[in-house]
Amino acid sequence: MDVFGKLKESLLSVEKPARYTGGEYNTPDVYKKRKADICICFPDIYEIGMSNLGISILYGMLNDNPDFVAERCFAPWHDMGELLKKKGLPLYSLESKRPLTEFDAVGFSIQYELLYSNILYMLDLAGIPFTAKDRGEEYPFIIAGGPCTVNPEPFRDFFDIIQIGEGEEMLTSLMNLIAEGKEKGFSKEEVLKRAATIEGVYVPRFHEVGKKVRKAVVKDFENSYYPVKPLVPNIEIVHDRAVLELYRGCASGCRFCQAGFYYRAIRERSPEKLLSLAVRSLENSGFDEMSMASLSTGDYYKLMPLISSVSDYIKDKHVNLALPSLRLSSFEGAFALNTRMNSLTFAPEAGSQRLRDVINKNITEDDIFDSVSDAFDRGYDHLKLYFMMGLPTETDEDILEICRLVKDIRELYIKKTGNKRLTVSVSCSVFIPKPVTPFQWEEQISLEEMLRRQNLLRNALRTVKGVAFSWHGAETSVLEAVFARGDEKLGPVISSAYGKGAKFDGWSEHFRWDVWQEAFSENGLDMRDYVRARDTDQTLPWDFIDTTVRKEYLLKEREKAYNGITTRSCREGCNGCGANGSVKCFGGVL
Amino acid sequence: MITLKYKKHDTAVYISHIDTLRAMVRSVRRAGIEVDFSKGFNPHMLLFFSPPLALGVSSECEYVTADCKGVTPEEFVSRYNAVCAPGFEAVAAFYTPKSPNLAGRIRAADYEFSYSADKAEAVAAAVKAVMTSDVYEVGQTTKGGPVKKECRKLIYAMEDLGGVLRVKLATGNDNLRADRLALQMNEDFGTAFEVTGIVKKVQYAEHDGAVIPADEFLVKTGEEVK
Repeated sequence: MDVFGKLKESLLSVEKPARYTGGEYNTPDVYKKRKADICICFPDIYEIGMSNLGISILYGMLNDNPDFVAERCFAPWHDMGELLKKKGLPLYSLESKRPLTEFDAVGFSIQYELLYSNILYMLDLAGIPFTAKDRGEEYPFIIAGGPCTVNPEPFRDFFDIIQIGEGEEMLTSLMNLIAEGKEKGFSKEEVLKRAATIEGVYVPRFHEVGKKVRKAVVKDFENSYYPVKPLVPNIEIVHDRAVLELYRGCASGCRFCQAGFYYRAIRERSPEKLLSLAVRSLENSGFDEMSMASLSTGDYYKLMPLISSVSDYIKDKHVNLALPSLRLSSFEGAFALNTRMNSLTFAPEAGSQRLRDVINKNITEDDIFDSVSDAFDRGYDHLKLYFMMGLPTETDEDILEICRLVKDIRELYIKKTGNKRLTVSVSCSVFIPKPVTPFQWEEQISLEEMLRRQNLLRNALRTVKGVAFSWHGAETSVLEAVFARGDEKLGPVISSAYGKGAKFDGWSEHFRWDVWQEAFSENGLDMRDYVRARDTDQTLPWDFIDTTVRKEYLLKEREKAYNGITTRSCREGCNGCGANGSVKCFGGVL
Repeated sequence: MITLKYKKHDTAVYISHIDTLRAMVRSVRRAGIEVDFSKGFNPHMLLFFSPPLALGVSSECEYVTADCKGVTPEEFVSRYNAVCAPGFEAVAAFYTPKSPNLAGRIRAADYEFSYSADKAEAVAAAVKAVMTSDVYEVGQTTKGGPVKKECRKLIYAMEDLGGVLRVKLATGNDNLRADRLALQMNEDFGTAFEVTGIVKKVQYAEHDGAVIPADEFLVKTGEEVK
């Protein structure tokens, strides 16, 4: 079917038509002979999906393999979705413009909970039945991957195969199996039964109750595939730059952070390897910015040598270096850069030292003031500070401490510079208890309580000049918490909500709280049952997933949190969580 | 300086002018061609473009000028074409001792509107009606809603080549967008042109009081390498 030919002219009526045309530089040959193909779907718009490193890695890796072809598809914005429906055309891949149903597999990368309705939006536009049991042999294998599969139960009914953990090796094995199945004429059932034996693969249909699924981990991270020929988007995307992945995992152990626990063991790339990846990525793409990404870039073991070697290379090339996700205590790295930044971002997460100890954010007030003071000396006059509210054990005093901290920072600025130019953006999100963290049993504060605490902080911050306060939508935080720790009963809720018009829930202007409330009550469920505290002896929906971090360790960390006791960074010595096993943290040097 | 003449076609027609600038900068970077950057706080590559092309319209004659050193027009074309963004292939390059300022100098452009055989009569009638009239209002949508503007004096010529309508339109400071004209003619005469069926063929620049094809103008100021 010539889908694109029928859209050619009408594409001009939608916003940013280049979202739907492909044609990026570095697009691989998708017409080559192949044993199996997959359309990699991202349930959010092009600009966000194209900024995702995971997609970029898997896409490049599969296309570099002579046996496979991978194409892409992103969630079309409302106008394009309506256009497709009006014309009776199916959702198509960007490269060859084929309907999704023509692929052997369709893989969704699920990055966060508020994208669940968009999975159904894309399946709907593609003409694919929502639930696995309703799909016969004629449909592609529908696969899920990405961070949210750490608790796949809310969306398990929609997928034939769910990948738990890191996708590189697992997806290659799956594609090999699908290719073998095509060659030998396996039934779908046969392929699924065999898929279930691949490490990290969860096949809901054939899963035996009580059996554990161990997440997949890339063992040789130093030499694992890296996309040094990244696609160069034709429109501006969110992270419009080359990216270097310094390491996986995180040594910090912040107790609220799912990624920090889920992506253990800690595996670092050598600075030599990274420099070579940087040079190739920049030369092959023409990007004028390069970012260094990982969960806590500032904690990379050889950050300064890396920055200095990359800086040497980009000197006179008009390339900027961007360092996101710097933890406060590792701030010095940013200063090595001769960039034109005037704004700095820090995430103290909590206002009081007591609460920072509870969440194991190993930063003291002195650290904060040392870093900020340094920044002021260098002419920075804008700060962004990220906090969370509703953290376990939080009191009103802790919240007011945020305001006190901002006040003190401002006073320091005035004392040092003699002027009052400093502006501070305070952003406060709501704590969401996430699976596989020490806080997975905690309650989320109620909607009313969120609003009360937001008001408390907002009113307090009104007394400080030069402060802009922003907060996350309370309702979306509730929904995120419900799905994060949800169970299989939520699948029908997602279907109901989509049927009533829910999509793009992460976009505040499109979030429909009323629709979700109706969908829950229609299915006889109460959101409050999902956000309440859980008993530690209760079986949790995601307990069958073995992340390698032991439950006893999480419980121990939880106990320490209540007592305000911190845990040292993994870099200072192994804390014995269990991840440092068959795959060694730091290559086994600790 | 070197002025590159390039096409914009295929899926590249959906890329806006501002995104085209970015795509061009990246292509030039990939080609490893050293181009001057602006001085100042936020240096950017100095590239000078001919007037923007409407979304959906193809072109065989877009121009970009770069102040670059150590590369001949010939090398520029081959190095650029080896790494350019799909749909932006170069067709020629001209050595220009100083900036040709095409953005300020372009006065007109030839476009071809393709149409299907069953619309031949409608197109012939449309050409006759427009060219014999002293006024022709073309609509456009502004922030305040749809408005119509008198554009007849911006239409310099129309010639029906059978299957293709060739039109010469004012381009540059006085400008009539080919896509808007096509849509207006569809509305008035049922010509059923498609914006994606329009191709810009030739641009014309002012030189010594005369308006001549841009290629000719560039040859006069330097030398061309195909």
